[in-house]
Amino acid sequence: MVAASSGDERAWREILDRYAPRVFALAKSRVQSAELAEEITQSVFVTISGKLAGGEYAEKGRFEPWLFRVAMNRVRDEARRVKRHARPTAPESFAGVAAPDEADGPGEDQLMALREGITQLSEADQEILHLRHQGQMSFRQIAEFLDEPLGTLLARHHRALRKLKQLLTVSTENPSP
Amino acid sequence: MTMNQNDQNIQNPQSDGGEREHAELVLGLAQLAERDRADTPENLSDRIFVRTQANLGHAADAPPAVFVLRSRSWMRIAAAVLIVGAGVAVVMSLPNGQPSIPEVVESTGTELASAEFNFEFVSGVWDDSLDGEIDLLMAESTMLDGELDREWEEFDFLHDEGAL
Repeated sequence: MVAASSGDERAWREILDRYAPRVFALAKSRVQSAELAEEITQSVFVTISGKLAGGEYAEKGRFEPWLFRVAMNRVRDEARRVKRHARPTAPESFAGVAAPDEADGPGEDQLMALREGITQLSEADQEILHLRHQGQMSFRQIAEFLDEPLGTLLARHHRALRKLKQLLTVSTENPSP
Repeated sequence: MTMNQNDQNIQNPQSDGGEREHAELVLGLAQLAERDRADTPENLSDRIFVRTQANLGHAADAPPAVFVLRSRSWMRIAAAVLIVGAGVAVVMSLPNGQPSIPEVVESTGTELASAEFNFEFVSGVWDDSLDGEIDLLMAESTMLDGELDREWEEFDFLHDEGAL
């Protein structure tokens, strides 16, 4: 990080290679558009590089929470804009995702339904799941990012999973005719 | 992938955020996330690198690179060709009309498509509204008129010398 801040191109490339896919995945999961996710990812790193070069990075040793804070601020702006144009998904479309075959893992249809199911959760729940899985952040990092006690964050993640499971199970038990 | 090193320190099985209880769901979430990361566009890091270096003016020592940038508008594809070198970003004006991206490249010099310059095609068609996108890129660059002229002179020289 110190090297990247001082203009070391190799260090900056390493940061890009390591974090760009995670920021991209997080953005894509939130805005549901690969092109917009790429633009968000690019703008995030433009911001980051500018702050590094300008000596504005003061959170030594806490790069990931800082990076994802910048990313989530951009994602939130875009997600709100996208949401205004979103269409609700019928619960029937989730059918089949609640009981994936553990031997083979979830199938394509199940993954699609799961992705749709996530969009039916509250924004707060979606955010936690995406930070955890697409962003690959630890619970401690997410708790820090959201400024919540770790225990509270763990409980919220647990509840988000439970809601998602319930949503998918109800859909499976009540398939469309 | 569900537990990283920090979380493995959490010993209480009730305090794992429900990931053990909903293991099958977590498996699906992990696969979705892996798929999203795998969908990262090819050369995204390279494009970010060029853009950020151009912004910071660190590109003086970088070899010339030619890219077709994506539009800032998520519904359209940009048709701006960016040459990075000598610390400045040069956006080439492209003809109006409706040529496809390859046609645009054809009209501005197919030699630029040389693989050694990391050229990347982005599918799409020319749109007059992209004039605005190019203006935006121009505004974002640190380019001055004099530097632009110098860059073009250098480009022409390299082109004439067969370096491009």
